[in-house]
Amino acid sequence: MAMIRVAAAALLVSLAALAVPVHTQRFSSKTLAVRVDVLVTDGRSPIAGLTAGDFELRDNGVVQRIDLVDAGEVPVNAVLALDTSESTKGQRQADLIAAGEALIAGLEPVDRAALTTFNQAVRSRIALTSDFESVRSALRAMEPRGTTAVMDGAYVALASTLDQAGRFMVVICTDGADTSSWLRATEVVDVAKRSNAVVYAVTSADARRSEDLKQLADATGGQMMTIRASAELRGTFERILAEFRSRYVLAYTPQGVAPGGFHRIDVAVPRRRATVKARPGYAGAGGNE
Amino acid sequence: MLRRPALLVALALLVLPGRTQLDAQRLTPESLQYLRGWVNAVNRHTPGYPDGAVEAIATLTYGDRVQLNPSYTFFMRPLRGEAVPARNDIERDVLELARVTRASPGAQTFLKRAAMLHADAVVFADRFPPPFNDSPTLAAGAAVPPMLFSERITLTQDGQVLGNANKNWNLPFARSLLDALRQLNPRADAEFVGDWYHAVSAYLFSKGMFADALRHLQAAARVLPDDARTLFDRGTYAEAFGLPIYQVIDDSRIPSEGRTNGDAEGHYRRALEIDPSYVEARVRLARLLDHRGRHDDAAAEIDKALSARPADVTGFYARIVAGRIAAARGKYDEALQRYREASAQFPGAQSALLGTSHAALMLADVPEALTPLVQLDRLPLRDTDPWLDYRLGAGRDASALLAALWEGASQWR
Repeated sequence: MAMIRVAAAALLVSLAALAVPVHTQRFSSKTLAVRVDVLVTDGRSPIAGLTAGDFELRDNGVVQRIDLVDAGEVPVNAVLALDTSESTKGQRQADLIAAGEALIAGLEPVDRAALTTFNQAVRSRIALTSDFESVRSALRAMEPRGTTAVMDGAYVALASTLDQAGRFMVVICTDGADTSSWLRATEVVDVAKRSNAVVYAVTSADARRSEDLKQLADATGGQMMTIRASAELRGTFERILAEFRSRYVLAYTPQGVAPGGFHRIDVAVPRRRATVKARPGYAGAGGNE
Repeated sequence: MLRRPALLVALALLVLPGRTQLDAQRLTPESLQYLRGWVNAVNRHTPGYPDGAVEAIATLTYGDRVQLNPSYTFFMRPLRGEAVPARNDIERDVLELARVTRASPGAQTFLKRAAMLHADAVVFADRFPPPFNDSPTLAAGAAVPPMLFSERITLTQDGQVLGNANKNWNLPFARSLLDALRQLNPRADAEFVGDWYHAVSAYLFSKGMFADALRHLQAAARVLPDDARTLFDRGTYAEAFGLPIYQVIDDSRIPSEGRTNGDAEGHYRRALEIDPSYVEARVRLARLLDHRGRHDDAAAEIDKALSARPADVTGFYARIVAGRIAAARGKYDEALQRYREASAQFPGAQSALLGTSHAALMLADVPEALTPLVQLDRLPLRDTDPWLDYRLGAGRDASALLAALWEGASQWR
């Protein structure tokens, strides 16, 4: 396969424009190079009705001219990355399947879903599709066994978004700690910084060594959620989808900054008392940081 | 028999408080009968087969061993050549049994056979119904005869504690038999002793029996302090406890990652001093150095390891570790090359495919990054990644090592 080297920051958008025509109208590589999913809350609930003028976005400290894309009109791509290790047997598995089905039930026909599972082995069970029944069937066919390779699973889920267009939420759910991954957490976080996906990590409150998942979520402007019982999974998955839909999508072509290296992004809503959550930056052209 | 490692792993634990039944230690006609049975089992056992002799040993209860122990203890004295007077008919019968044994097959051969029998009782334990558990809980540090060894261990799986179990008494007892062998002649049979310790270590690793391995390796360190294989096994044991699968266990008895990795590094360095051609020890040293942030030192070690052109699983480990070290140093072209070599060696290895994908992605080559993931999805779900067996160390070769031991034993006269 021919080597195609492209600037890392613009890469995803460019490929998106080529790969999936339905989304190219919104994410043209000619006009929009960097896209940022932003969650704005009053501390508890999302704040709706903001316009582009309400936001201030700095790329490496330089204020940028931004466009605000109506997130409500952009299809959602939901990638589920679910733990199928031995410890998810029984009620946990039933609750996990129910949670996955509930999230899928909340998707619109224009949305898409995908399923990656991981124990020590990682598999993309279902690639992005609007055939939600196939995802449901795959969910029901999950067989818990083996150990847990969370970071390897997270990597495959994130990588599955790289040649696709649209907005992505990656929901990583595990009941335990990573015991088997080959990839290091820092390596997966590096990839997360290069993707447009927003990572939501769901883990049990007693899971050890979950800092890596928090770092992964933070690197994408996402969130880590801890639950005390698997019965909470369904509500948590539903909240994740609702929160993702309430996000704003900012887009801009970087101006006045060098293209390479890691670009720090700061997003603010200066005239409102608001909490803003967005990915902290992106890897620019030729940057490997 | 020794297929994939059982995921059940046993951790070294405390000895719980309690008391022994040492007051029952008297040489009785029943004890003599037990001794005759034991000697007969040793003499008729074919190493490597779960025969009736193994069954007889594997199903002994603690109460049986309490009966056997006095006559066994008395028997061992004349067997080692000690002049022991008989004070009654039972002692006379025991002395006669020892005399016959010294004549044939000879004390040394008998002790080696006995060690093999008791190791086989561990290897084939699951072929027989477990004996009734009448073991007492012993006070911490209690001095008990090896035959009456009794310790509790904790069982874990994928980082979670499952419960407790009794540690198998056969290995401590077998090691005491080898101690007796070495007392007879420290130099003779040194090769057998080294092979036995290494093969049994490998077996314990292969089954995840880390609690038994701890005591076993402590004994190996005492008996074979400068043996490269023993140092390698000790390194593997310490390194395993630094891996996430053990570090995530919520138990204060698990050593800290820094301490256990430091121990492992020391053992590997010592093994390499004794045998600089021990490639897997060097690969593992490189992995540890990289993990501890000493990437340049790691690169120097892995280059040395690769220059030996290792093949098979050791070669695979060398290549994925080289890939990881190169990635940590930002040399993604080199990382990509090493991971591809590893993938070519084991096309079903998830670790190499993910490493290839990641290195390509860091080179901003998305199509190349996605290709290995397509390969990954085509793999069967059975585990074909040697990385998943990394923590086993010599346990990967347990079947071959035991087979060689058994084959060697078949030559004894």
